[in-house]
Amino acid sequence: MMSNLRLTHIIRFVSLVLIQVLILQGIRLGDGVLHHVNFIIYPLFIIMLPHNTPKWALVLLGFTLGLSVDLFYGTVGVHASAGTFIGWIRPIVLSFLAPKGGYVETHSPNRYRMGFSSYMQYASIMMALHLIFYFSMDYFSVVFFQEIAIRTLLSLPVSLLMIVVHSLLMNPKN
Amino acid sequence: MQNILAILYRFRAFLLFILLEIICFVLIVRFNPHQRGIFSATSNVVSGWTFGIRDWGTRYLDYPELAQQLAEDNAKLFERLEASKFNNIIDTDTIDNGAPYFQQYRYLAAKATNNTTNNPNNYITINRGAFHKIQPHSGIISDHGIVGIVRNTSEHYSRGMSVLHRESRISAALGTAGFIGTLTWDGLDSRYLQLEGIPSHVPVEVGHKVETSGYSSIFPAGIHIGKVHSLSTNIGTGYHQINVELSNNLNNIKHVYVITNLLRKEQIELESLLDDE
Repeated sequence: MMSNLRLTHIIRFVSLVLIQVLILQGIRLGDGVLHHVNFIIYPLFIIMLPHNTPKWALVLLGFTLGLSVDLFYGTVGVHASAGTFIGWIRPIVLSFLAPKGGYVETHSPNRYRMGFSSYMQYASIMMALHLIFYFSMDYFSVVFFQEIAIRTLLSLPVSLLMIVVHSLLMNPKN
Repeated sequence: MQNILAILYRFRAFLLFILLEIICFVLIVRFNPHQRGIFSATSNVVSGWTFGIRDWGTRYLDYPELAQQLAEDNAKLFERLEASKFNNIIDTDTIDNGAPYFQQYRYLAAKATNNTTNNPNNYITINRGAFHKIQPHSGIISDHGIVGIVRNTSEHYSRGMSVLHRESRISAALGTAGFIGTLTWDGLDSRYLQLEGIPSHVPVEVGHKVETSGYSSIFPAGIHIGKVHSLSTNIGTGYHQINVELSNNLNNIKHVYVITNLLRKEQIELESLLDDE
């Protein structure tokens, strides 16, 4: 049971990184404003880790996930810093959104356990935080405040659409 | 120690987060040209700020030298005043006897190294002496008024009689009309000198200015001394009794100027000649 659970997340890690770097990395919607649209899905791994994952493990996994993506993007540290950030901030986001009874420790946050509305609320916040942090690290200066904001606002709906499709198609229990 | 470890353990996730973010930051700056460019530009700005703050913090450190420099510059400027020059213009156009003006008064910046004000007879010591060509009977003034007269000089110091001395006699001119009197000190209050010798028929008002008269071989004319603070008429003598409020505070004299009258010897010799007759 435990090893199955672990295997699920390992597979999710690998497949999300592969989808990110092999498919999504190459997508260009066009010039102009659409050029700013980035397709980011890999934070879904952190989003869907079980509730009983230790905090330090979330941070470490976020770092590892981001660094894996970085190796293919050729941007060492940029994705890793954003992954580390959402790994650390996830327990805080979850505690803000916690229902009255709290979470079942062994469950994972997903549509099956939380319901579509709560899950999307949680996933949106996590994804938005990830994108803001990632683009901030990418541009690396407050001078580019506008670009960071535009990229986040344009890329967030795309990421959320992918998360919706994933949750509707797969609807994983873990 | 155990407490510290317990705290570290309690916040291990946060500490790991900080550690990994620092590693990420180093990696980003190390391996990404765009971010490295921004980083080095920003660190230039930050180091600029840092040096700016340091300069701001240490800006007073060289003020003593600066003050010294300013005092010397002031002395040079004083020397160029018309009152410091001897008028050599001869009112005829047939005789041309050299330059119309030449230097009569020399100003030398000095610092008071010792100064008393609360004795019946007060003295001031300054850090310039015979080596700096200071002679006895040179005037000592500060930026705001007169201080005293040099009495003795050593190699590097001069000792002067303060105006706050009961034997001090300084010729002073009162008001715009310039009535001449003598300034003395009664030994009571270091803020006030007494102006004697102004006849009671002379109209005097509180606030009239008092300055040096130039009727001496020591001070040039027109150096500010103070203003009339209070007055009464001494019926017996027929003279005003005038209290003059000093314009400078003699309690905190620091920078002074020594005025040397380069023509004093000539004037004194001439005057003693007439006395002998």
